Amino acid sequence: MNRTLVIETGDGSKGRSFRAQLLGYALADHLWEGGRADTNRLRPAVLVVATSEAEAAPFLANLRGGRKAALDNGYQSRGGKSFELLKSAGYAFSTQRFPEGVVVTAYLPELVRLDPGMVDPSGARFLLLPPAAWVADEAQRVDAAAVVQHVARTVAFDRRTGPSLDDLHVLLPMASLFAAYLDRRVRAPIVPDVRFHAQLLATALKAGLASCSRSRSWGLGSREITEEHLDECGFAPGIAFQAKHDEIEALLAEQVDAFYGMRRAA
Amino acid sequence: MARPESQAIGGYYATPQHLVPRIASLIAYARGRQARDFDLTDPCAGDGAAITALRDAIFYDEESRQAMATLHACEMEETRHRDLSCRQRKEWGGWSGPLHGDAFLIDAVPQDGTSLLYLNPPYDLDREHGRLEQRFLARFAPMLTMGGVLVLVVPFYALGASADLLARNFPAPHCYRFPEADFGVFRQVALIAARGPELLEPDQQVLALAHGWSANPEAMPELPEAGRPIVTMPPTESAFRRWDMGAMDLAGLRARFRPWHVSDRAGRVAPIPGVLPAESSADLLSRRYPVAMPPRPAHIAAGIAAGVFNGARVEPDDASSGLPALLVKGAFDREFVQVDTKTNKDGEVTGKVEVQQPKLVVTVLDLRAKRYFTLRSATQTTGTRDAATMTTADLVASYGRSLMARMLEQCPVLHDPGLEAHRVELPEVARPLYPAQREAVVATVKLLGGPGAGRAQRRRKAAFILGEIGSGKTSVALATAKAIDARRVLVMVPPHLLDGWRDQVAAVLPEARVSVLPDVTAIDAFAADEAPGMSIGILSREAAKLGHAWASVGPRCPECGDAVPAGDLARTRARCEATRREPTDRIARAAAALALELARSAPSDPAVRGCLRGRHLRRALGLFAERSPAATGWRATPGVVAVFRSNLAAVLRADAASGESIEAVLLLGAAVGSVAEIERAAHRAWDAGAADPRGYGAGDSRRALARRFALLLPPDSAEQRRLILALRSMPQGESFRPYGSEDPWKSLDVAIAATKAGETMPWAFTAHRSTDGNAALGGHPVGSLALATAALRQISALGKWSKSQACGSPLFTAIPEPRRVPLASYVAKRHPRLFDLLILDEGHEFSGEGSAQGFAAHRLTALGMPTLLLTGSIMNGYADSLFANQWALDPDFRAEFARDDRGEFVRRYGYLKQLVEQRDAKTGKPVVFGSHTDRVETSTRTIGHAPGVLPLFVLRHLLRRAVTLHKGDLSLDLPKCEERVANVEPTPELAAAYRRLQRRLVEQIKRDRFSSMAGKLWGQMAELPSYLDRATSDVCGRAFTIAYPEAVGAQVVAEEPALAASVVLPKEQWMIDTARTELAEGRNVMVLAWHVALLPRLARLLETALGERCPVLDAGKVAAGKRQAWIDREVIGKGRRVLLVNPVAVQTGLNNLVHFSTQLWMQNPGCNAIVYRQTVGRVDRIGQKRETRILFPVYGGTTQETLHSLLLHKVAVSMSTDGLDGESALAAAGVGDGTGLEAMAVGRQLYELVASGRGLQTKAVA
Repeated sequence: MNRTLVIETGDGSKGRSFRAQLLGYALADHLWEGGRADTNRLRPAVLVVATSEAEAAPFLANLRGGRKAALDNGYQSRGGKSFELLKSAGYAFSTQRFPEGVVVTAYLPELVRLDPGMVDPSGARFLLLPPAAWVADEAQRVDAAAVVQHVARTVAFDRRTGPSLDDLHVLLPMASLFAAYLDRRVRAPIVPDVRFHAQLLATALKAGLASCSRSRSWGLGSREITEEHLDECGFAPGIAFQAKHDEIEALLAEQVDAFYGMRRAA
Repeated sequence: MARPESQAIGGYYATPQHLVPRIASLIAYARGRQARDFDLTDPCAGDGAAITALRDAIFYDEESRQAMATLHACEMEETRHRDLSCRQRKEWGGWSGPLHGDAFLIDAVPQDGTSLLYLNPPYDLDREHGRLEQRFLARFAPMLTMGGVLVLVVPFYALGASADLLARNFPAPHCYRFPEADFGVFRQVALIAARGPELLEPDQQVLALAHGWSANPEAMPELPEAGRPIVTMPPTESAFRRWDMGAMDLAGLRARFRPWHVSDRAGRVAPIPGVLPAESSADLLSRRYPVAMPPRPAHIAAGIAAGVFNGARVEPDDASSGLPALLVKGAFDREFVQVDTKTNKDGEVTGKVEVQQPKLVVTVLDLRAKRYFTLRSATQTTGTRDAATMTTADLVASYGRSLMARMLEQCPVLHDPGLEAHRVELPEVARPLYPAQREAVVATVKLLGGPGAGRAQRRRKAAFILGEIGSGKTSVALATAKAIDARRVLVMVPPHLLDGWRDQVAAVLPEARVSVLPDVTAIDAFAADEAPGMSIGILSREAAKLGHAWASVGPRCPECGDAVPAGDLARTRARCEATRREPTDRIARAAAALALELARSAPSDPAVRGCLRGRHLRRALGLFAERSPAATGWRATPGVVAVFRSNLAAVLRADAASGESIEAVLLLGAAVGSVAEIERAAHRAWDAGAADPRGYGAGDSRRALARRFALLLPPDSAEQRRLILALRSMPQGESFRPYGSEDPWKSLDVAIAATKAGETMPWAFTAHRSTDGNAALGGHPVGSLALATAALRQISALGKWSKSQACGSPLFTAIPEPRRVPLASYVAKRHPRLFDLLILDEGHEFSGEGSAQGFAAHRLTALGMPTLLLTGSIMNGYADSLFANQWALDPDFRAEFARDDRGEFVRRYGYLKQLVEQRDAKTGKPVVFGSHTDRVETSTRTIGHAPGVLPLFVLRHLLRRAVTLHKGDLSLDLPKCEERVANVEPTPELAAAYRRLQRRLVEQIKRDRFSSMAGKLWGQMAELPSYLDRATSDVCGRAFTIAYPEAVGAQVVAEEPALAASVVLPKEQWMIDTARTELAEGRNVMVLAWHVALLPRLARLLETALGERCPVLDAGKVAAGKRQAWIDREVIGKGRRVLLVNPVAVQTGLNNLVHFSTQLWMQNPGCNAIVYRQTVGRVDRIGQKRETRILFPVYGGTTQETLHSLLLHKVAVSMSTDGLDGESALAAAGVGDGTGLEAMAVGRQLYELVASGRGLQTKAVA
């Protein structure tokens, strides 16, 4: 599959064009205003591209400048899929340089950063996209059996509408990270117990407040997250979360009750 | 670093085409029967113009026809590569490629190697190689065959990065500066060298040569016009075994790529701060903030807000209280609160001004009830036992011990004086340290790498010493210097503290040598001092920052060459506003081409300057104009002839050429002046009309043009007769002519006769005979420069042009007068490793954005020497005042923010002010707020900052590197300090006059709201409260006047006749009474006033009442550096008991003001928290024997009260960062009600109060 991105500046003899290879991207349009706009261009929350050393500077400068990068379909008019990084969205860019070339990651920091600095009065929203290697390390630390057993007892699963218990095994190492992202965006304290975190993640997915990129059953309508090829770049499955504070607080209160109720019963 | 705009188009600096023959003249090619094949390589070929021109210029002679030159070229950018490919298809000779792609991806395997490498790469910095030019050279130099010729076109300063490679591979390089006009543009040089065998060690001679060139381009000769060959290009059988564009190894890249990592300067891959969690998932909920010293109880509020307690289980201090265990969570809401509205002329609201206010929301999970509760925000306790009704203050009061324990757990302390294991032995200093000072020294030493650390371990270490004024920061800093065994210490201080520091060193470290460093000589002498023991150099902040002066540039802009405007351009830091024209159609492009041809001959001609494309050409023109006057004896160049021909062709092609364009062609033909060219033009014109034989229309006008060309020849000359004869012998077209028109040949005869006689012809352009018998046009002889410039004007006027942006080049330049060097720069450049420790005193003064002293201080901190920043008030109330110093000294902070992230910092840790408006979607104009329609859009715009900083900053960044030192810690029984406000009633007359002034001013401000004068009276509004203190004639003159600023006409708005100087105002009477009482108690009194003009009056009143001398410290007469001595001599020495002074004059550096124990603040210090805290600290400090009293009289019920509240709020915010006061800290953390007033400018704020009626209804005034 051709994944060459072309950015063109101007027309005719003054026009310039630069190329890069698309490695992967994630769309979480429902999480931010620019993503919700009615446009046929893709506005990724995370975009990973590779370029050659010399082409990195002009490609990145154009990307920062908000110019659209179109997937090259071999025609002059580049009519295919195109990406746009809105200048006003405040994208952050990070560059990794290797002898083979340069990899640029563009991302929306307010969604991706662990700590946004303050609580957004309108609600909590974030995109959790940890490295697969980090998740693998975490998986070693978590007593998966005990946690899954706890979740199985507290959350009612339905394979048609939500994650299955098997699916949860994949996400389990990310549960505490999910809780940490949520903790930094809400006012209520979160019980510091990985079982509670897993229970919270499972319930959020089930309630449609969160969605995961690697399973169709977990993406619910407008709150869906789309991800292409990021797994090839070493990213774990992405989880997008968006909810208002009253929804979150209701969920937390309910889950605290269920959590302590289960412990009492145990 | 190249500009983003340049990077975005892959901008590069092409080799000027006219210089290629010069470069080629220095290169020969090997001749002979065997030498037939050559390879020329250009990996950054652009459109290929340079490499093909170079090839053509080298292989130009007869013998070269036997040679075969193959070009190997590559271009990354697609459009340029397309042009390159076009060139390849059109040109002779062999090509390999040309390749499209990044030169670094070329899969090139040399066989013999290339004969010539032409390298004009992009000019930019490179993380790995220093310069991008060197990266290219290192990649492609090995492609050269032995003896192969390198042509390197780069800016001269880039040669330094390549010096080593050149010295190993090119035994005898030659380097030439581009000619002046071209060199001034991009500072390019051409290095030409033949490749030799690679050396293991660089040739020192070449190394020195290359470094010399990179430092001083004057050292190299200019590129000669026609030089002799200095290198000979060797032949090659086959340059490359393979020359293809390689594919990027995407699989390899993916394998190496690490999500959420970034490459640092050294090429290492490091995690992006804030995205990838550093901790394992188990620790993610709790936040750890290492701190230098144990946090104080006042920091609990900051801890709650910073999330230290998140998810932690806390138990009540009193287990029997019945309170439940809790999970606590503090979170910040920074809500925007409306503080103002914008109205239109009808009084309807069109916008809202909102400020962000911190709101600490503390939520607890009652572990007994398993329920969440949000605590009520309050600073007062209620004593409740129920989590549901608990307040924030109750939480701190009832769970304080558990919270503090958790805080200590989550905030690991670098130095805890309570722990035996943390203790460190310190060397003794002459003035014994108090225990708290000693602990501060230990903590500071640990922050600087610990005791016994080597120089390398202390590199880039820094500590903030946040010492309350009078707590002994200087002693701590000097003791630290001794403890880390610093041999040479640099202290940067405000100028008035030079003597104070010398005295302090003498007292604390008498064995150290102290020198004030006023100039470079003193610094050099200091550096040369090799004597053992500690040396301390004291550098005045002013000497550190002040350098040479600035002057206006010459008569022309150095960038574009345009004439500069008159006036002092240096003072105003003016920039060139000249715009240039860009041709947008064929005619304009022809004008530009003609202008270029005329540039050398008529550089000052406005038409020439106006038509040239590009600022650099115009700059070159400026140089021509200054150095070579316009040439005499001008002859049309082939370029001018070419422009003439192309314009003639265009006119003849047009169906209906305009009269102006025909006249332009005639003028240009006349400028060319060559008989042969004119004859040829006439024939072409006649031929072009052959297709249309009518006696009118296009064909006829072309024949008329041919006849007019004949008029350009000398009248009645043989050439003219011959041309006319030839034209008459050609087909003449139809004889029918419109009514009234004459026979054209007859008209021509008449014209010739007339021009011979020197008469004026009734044509648009008149030919007439000149005195020497030659033809002339428009008064200028045929073949003259004047005709060429006239033609240029004509063509230029016909063309279409667009206007560019202003040039923007600075019109000021540094001059070597006075001969002064900013000493901070000098130390950084000449003695970067001289000092072992840097001490920045009064560090808050280095935090201003863009201030010269800030730059000077941070230039020194950038050297990496361990640094101590001493300050009594690190923050002025606004978050952005913390940024510069934190960025300069804190590597963790730098990981979070880039240097230009001040705005992002304020967004994350500070508070903003914004304007919310609703605008019509179509017109973009503001509409009445709240009148929603489908066509209205809400716009939000940040319009400034509001005071305050998130407590998260204090814990995360400040306390990690800060050692706090409070007077209370010194256990020295420092006398109590009491601050008290005294409400004074104004007299009815004074209050009435004040109200009149206030009313008139407010009315005028309302009237001005929608005019150009809007906002011009805010300054007067802020000054209005001072009327109550300045109402008498000896202070305000004949009357107290409120007027517009002088810049807008100084029109008087309101006026009140001054009260008699003999009247004693109520606050003054209070001052006299209070001073008398205080003196009676044996307490000396400082009287402080903001308006200097008020001080003599207050002094007179006090002297009259008390019967003793009351000196005034006049900052204008006593320089800052002499104030301490002046006070010793004039006040303390003479036993004076009262001193009057502006607080700004004594806020820093004076240690002898403990002579006074009472301060009477007669006026508010402009609501400046730092001035207030610093001035109070002058009396409330070590050495004070009496209880201190800070008394602040205000006229009750007036805006003086409001101003005082605002001052106290700012002081509280400022103190909260130091952990001085718990209540302040809670308030700063957003607990309790905020008024939002502090976010507004003082004048505007007062206006709002008064306009809303609150200020007018005050009982005291009424």
